[in-house]
Amino acid sequence: MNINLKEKEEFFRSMPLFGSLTLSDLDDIVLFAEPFSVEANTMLFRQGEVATGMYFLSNGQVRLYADVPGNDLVELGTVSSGDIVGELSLIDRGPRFTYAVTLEPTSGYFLSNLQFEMLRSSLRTQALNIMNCFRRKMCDRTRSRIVQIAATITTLEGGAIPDSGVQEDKRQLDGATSPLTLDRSMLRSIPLFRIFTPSELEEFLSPMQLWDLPRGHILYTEGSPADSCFITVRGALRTTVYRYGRYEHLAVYGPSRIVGVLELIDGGSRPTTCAVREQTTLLEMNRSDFENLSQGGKEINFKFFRAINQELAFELRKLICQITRLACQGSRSDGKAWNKEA
Amino acid sequence: MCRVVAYLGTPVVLDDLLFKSDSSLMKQTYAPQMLKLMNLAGFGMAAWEQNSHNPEIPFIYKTISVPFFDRNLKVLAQKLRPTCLIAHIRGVLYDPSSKVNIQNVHPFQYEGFKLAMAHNGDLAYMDEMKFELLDYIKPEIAKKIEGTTDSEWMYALLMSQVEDPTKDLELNEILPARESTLKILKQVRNKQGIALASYVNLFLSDGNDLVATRFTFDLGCYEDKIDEFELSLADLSLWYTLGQDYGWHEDEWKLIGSAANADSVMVASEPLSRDITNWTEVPEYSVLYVKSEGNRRQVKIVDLDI
Repeated sequence: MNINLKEKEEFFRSMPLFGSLTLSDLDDIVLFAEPFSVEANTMLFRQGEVATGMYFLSNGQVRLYADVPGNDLVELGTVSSGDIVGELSLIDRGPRFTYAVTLEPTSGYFLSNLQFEMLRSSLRTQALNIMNCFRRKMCDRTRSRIVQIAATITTLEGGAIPDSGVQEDKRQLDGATSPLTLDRSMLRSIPLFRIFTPSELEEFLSPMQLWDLPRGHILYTEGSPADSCFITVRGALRTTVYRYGRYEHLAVYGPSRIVGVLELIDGGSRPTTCAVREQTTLLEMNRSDFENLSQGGKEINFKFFRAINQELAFELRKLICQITRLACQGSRSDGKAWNKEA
Repeated sequence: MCRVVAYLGTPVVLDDLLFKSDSSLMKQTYAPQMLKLMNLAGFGMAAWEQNSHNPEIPFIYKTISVPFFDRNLKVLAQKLRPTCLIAHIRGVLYDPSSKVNIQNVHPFQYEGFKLAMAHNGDLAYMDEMKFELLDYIKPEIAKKIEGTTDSEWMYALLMSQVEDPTKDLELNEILPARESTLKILKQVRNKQGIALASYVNLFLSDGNDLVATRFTFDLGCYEDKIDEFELSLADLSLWYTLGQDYGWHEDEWKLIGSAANADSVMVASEPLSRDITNWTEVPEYSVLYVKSEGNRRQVKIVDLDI
C-alpha cells in the first residue's frame, strides 16, 4: 500500500472527531484530502473572504481572530493538532467569519470546498456519517462560544440585579393540538417548510405537537435535560444565558427557526434558557422523532439533516457576532485583543 | 422599509458617508445588502456642522427625487463636513395609497425643537391608532404634524414625552422619553388588539447625542402568511462601528484607531461596505446610545424589555 495513503488513513482514524467512524466511513475523506504544510505566522484564511476549504491539523496550532469595529482584533481561540478549522463557512456557504493564523509550523490535510460539496450532497451512508461528525463539532463550538459569552457576565456591574428580561407567565397553558390544523398555504410561505414536497410536509408534521404560547412562557432553562426541539411557526423566542442573577442576550428566533437542536444532537443539557418573547405558535418535536428524521435514507431525512446543519451554522455565527460585540464594548473573556495598527 | 445612517464624531466629508463606499447609503437606494426592497420614496438628512452659522441648527435637506441622480445633493455633500448626521432614504411597499411627498421624508425635526428623528420600519394599523395616540400628544405638537407617516406621529409622541423639546436635551431625558413612547405605542396596540409585526428602528440626535433602537412589536406575527419580501421572519437589521478618522484605509472605507480610543460612531441599518468585518450587529430588542466623555465616545447597548 502507498505509504502516504496509509499515513493519511492512520491520521484520520486517530482524529477524535472521527472516533465513532469505521475506516470504510473515512474512504471519501482519505481519498479527497490533500496534504498541506506551512510555516508559522501563515494566514490560512481571512475574515470575510470566500471559503476555499477546511483544514485537518496533524501538527501545529492555529489561532482564530475576528475583526471588531475600530480596526481591533479579538482572539476567539486556538485550534491544535487533531482538530479541524474552517468548516463553518463550508457548511453554510457563507464568508469566513474569522482569521486563522498559524502559531508554529503547521501541517495536516486540506479538503477543498468542491470536495466538501461532494460529501455534503452525497446520499451515501458514509458521507452522512462524516457530516454528522462535523455537526457534532459545530455543537462543541457552539457550547464553548456560549461559555465564552457567559464569562463576560460579572458581578462588577452596578445597579439592581435584573430579572429574567421576560416576565414568566404562569397561566395554565392550553393543551397541545395537532399540526394538521395548520393552514398549508400559510406553512408553505415559511422557508423551512417550503423545502418539503406536500407529502413530505405531512410526514414531517404528523408526529409533532402544536402549541400556542404566551409571552413570558419559559420553554426550557439552562442546565435542564433536553427531550425535544421546537420550530417557530409564528412569533418569536429568545435565548439568554444567566450568571450572578444577570443575563446576556444570545439570539432571537422568529418564524422558520429551529430551537433546542444542539442538545438533541450531542445529548448534553440545555446550554441556554429559552423563553417566549412574543405570543408564539410553535411545533414541538420529541427526541425520538428528531433522531428518526435525522437518519434514514429518504429525501425528507436529507432535507431535514441539511436544515439542521444550516440552523447550527446560523446560531454559531450569531454567537461569534455577540462575542465581537462584547469585545468591542470592553467585555473580553477570551484573552488578548489589540489594534491592528499597533 | 428604509435605510438610515447616523454619525457622531469628528468632522467627516459628507460625500464620504453618503456616496463613496461600495455599499453607501446612496447605493442602498437600489441595492441594499440586507433588505429585499428598494428605497425610492425620498431622501432626507439633518447634518450638524460646527463651522456653520448657528451650528446647533442642522443643515436640513429633503427631496422626493431619487437621490443618486441629485446633483445638488452631490455638490452639497462634497462641501459639508458634519460632526453629526442622520440621513434617511425612504422605502415604501408598492401600494397605490402610499403618499410620496416632501412632508413624509425623514428625519423629522419641528421648528425650534432640538431633536431630530428618523425611523426605519412600519407600524401596522397606524391609521386606527392615531386618534387614540392624540391623547398622549400635546396639542401644540399635534398641530405641527404635516405628513401622513406613522414615523412623524411617533416623533410627535416622542417630543410630547419631554418637558421642553426646544431645549438641548441630555441622554437622561432622551432615553426615558424614547422608552415612554414605545410603552404608549404598545399600550394602544394592546387596547386595539393589534398584534402584527411592526418595526421601530429609531435614530435620534440633537447634534451632541446619538440614540438608536432596534425594536419590533410582535416580531414574527404576520397576518395570513409570510409576505414575498420575508419581512416577518426577522426584525430589521441595525449595525454600528466606532473608531477614528473615517476614510479610505487599507483598501476600504472604515473607521480605524481602536474602539478604546474611539472619537466617532456610526450606526446604520446595514454596513456601508460589502466587507462587514469592521461592523458589529446591535442585538434585537435593544437601545444603543453614544456616551461622550470629552473627545472620547463609547457605545452603550441596553436591553429593551417592553
